[in-house]
Amino acid sequence: MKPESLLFAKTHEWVAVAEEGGQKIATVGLSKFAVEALTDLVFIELPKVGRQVAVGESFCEVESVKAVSDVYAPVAGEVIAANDKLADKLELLSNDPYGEGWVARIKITDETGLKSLMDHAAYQKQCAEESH
Amino acid sequence: MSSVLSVVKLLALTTATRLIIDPPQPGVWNMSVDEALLEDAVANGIATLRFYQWNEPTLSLGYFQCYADREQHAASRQCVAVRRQSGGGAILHDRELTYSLSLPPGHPLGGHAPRLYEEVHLAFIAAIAACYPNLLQGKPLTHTVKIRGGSARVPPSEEPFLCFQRAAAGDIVFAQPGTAGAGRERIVKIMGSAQRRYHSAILQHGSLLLSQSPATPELPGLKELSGWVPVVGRVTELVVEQLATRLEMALAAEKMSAQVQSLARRIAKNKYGTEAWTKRR
Repeated sequence: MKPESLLFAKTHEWVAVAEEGGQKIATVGLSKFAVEALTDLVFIELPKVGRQVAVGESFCEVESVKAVSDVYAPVAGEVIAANDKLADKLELLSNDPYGEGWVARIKITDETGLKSLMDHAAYQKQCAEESH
Repeated sequence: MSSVLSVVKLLALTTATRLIIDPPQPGVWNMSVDEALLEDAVANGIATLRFYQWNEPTLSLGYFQCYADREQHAASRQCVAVRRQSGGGAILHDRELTYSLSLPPGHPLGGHAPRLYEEVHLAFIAAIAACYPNLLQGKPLTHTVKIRGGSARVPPSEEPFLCFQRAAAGDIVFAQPGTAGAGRERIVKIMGSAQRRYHSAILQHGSLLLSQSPATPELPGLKELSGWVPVVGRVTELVVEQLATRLEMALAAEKMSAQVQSLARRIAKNKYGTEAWTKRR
């Protein structure tokens, strides 16, 4: 996926929303900016399928050599898939953050959270400010 | 404490940061205070630099470590254990100086994890170096205390149990040329730090090994390596001075607020003081 087509949370998660069988499904991952800030990745604890998440709730944790970081749910709903490939190939997060490095898919139950997400241009601006 | 205050007053700096110097306390309390300060950074935008010690030898497990793995380290088996919210390997906190730095979202240093790690460690190195002239009495140095450069990646499953037996870029190491056999440099880790990111705020805490603990006889501290007996108050004072300068902090020594203490008590009761947390893996 091209980052220009995605939505972004302030906490650096990206979201791609698609309609599937009448349901809105969000594919969620970590932005390239966030992954680069984490440096050498060591471990990921993926969310359990079936878990209900609220907007802004920590639902996944990533460990790098220096830090443990939370991944926050950018939308509310039910986790319907987690990217199990990451457990053995954590480098997918850095090599292909907007493709094979996706983290989870969430069936959206409340679309309110979508309104607070940024487009790519606004997100780039936030990243530029955080880099200073 | 008063000398630390006088150092702080002399510094003309830019980023307001609360300075807390705590007496030795239990591990559950120490971890709870660090988390309360991180939450305070998120809720109130307050940065805090804290120095603390431990009232008994305490094993802290990295966030993702298995509790059962402590069995492989016989010397610390009888020590109380806590689980940190930061990653990395286990640390036996005993004869050391521990610090934490909590930075709110948007802090200029918060977005640069490796830089924050290195800057804090450079401040510790400068503080140690500042103590040396009095120690050496004119004798030349036979070693250096420095930042470790790059290190070979070790698969997570093969990492040693103890943090101080792991190698990561940015660690502070004690290096003695030609003492490791075949003329090689002997490298010993004496300080490491770890970070926790939480709602765009960051907590970094770390330990400087002052001297060897009976619970980790395989880990020499500064005393065993250099012959220098570090005085905690003096090292703290110099680190405060160096951090204030390097990180451009306007440090103000304060007592912990009632609000943070109350939050820490709640966190201790519901999290760090429970077996569910300590043995969660």
